Amino acid sequence: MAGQSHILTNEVAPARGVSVTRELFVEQLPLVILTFGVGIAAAYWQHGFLPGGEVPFPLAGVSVPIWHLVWMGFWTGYTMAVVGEAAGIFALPYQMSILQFSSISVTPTTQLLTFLNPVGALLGFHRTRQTNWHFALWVCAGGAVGALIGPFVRLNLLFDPKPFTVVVGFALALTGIHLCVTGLRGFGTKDAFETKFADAALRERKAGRSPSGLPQGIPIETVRKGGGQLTISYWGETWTMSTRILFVIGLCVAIISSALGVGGGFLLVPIFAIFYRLPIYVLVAASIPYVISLSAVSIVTYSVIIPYFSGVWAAPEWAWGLFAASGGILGAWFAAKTQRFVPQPLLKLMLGAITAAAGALYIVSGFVELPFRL
Amino acid sequence: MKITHGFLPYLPFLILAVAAVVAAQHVYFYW
Repeated sequence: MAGQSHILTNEVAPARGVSVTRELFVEQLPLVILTFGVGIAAAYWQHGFLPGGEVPFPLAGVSVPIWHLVWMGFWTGYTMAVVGEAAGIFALPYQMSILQFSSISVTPTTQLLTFLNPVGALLGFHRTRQTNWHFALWVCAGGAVGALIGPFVRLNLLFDPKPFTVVVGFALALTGIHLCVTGLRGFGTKDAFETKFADAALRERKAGRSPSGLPQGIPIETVRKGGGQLTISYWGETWTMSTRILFVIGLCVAIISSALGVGGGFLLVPIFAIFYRLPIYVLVAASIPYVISLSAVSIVTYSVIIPYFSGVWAAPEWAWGLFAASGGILGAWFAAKTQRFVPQPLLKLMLGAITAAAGALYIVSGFVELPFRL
Repeated sequence: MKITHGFLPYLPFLILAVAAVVAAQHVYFYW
């Protein structure tokens, strides 16, 4: 009966025995304040003063109020984590165009943000039980191997990566358009999961509660594993996947994304959404751990391996990256807490727009010299 | 339904709208 009532009502029940308020004050804010504090310390360590709205950031060469960096981290972290990705795809062009941070340091600075910001999402989704380590393990294992191969592909085979980025760009643009179309169709014809979500949200709305389409505290469970197969279930739906194919997907996405020096979420999430038809609320269980691990490897690659062979090293604007990350951690956590209110067609529309925008940037970068590396 | 709950499904778009306003003020004051 207890399980049944869980499914029939979305009454706010603290997942894993911790209230959202306690989660915010005990887990998130200390992490956010610590990251912000380290940012201030890093500014004095790197430059001997605190840059901001009046004094320009020396490596960036621009004046930006610190609150704006925190806000940028928050909104990019939120909008990307809500679809299971890290902040980079939004943060990089925003910093380049609006904030005019166009020196070579923008890339390592953004890598710092994209490594730290999904940590907030991971903690948030862990508390709402939208994590499944069996699912994440195979993708991340493939990712770890691919991330070691990718830099050597870049160094030895991709002397001119431009044709490669254009191909990736076209693939992303088509994927993005496909996701937008399925998102728009979803407003009319819903699949089983989306129908259940809409019914639950309507029920909650009628009962005078917040219109959450997902019940709190329902875990992404491993139903069966072994024999090369993994079956997971969430809210009555099940998905069976081959662990070998999961590994290969993680591997291929990592080779491509680490050869390009990016986190990989923008490729992995559409693959899960389109080919596996996984709801975005479920695929975050694998994509968030994946982007954290790939971003970590990407930082090592581009601050150690590539400079070792090329002799060129760009220092990050540490304070800038950490201020943005402090907002990014909070934004990504906020996304994990509020994702259950957003219907999947809206999420797909957003994911599609982000993916298509990323694809367009890759295509443009193949023909026009952008002042930053994508 | 509490009035404050109605915006929740559109939260990502509201945040994007605020981001656009903040970006515009930055362009106005700092460029």
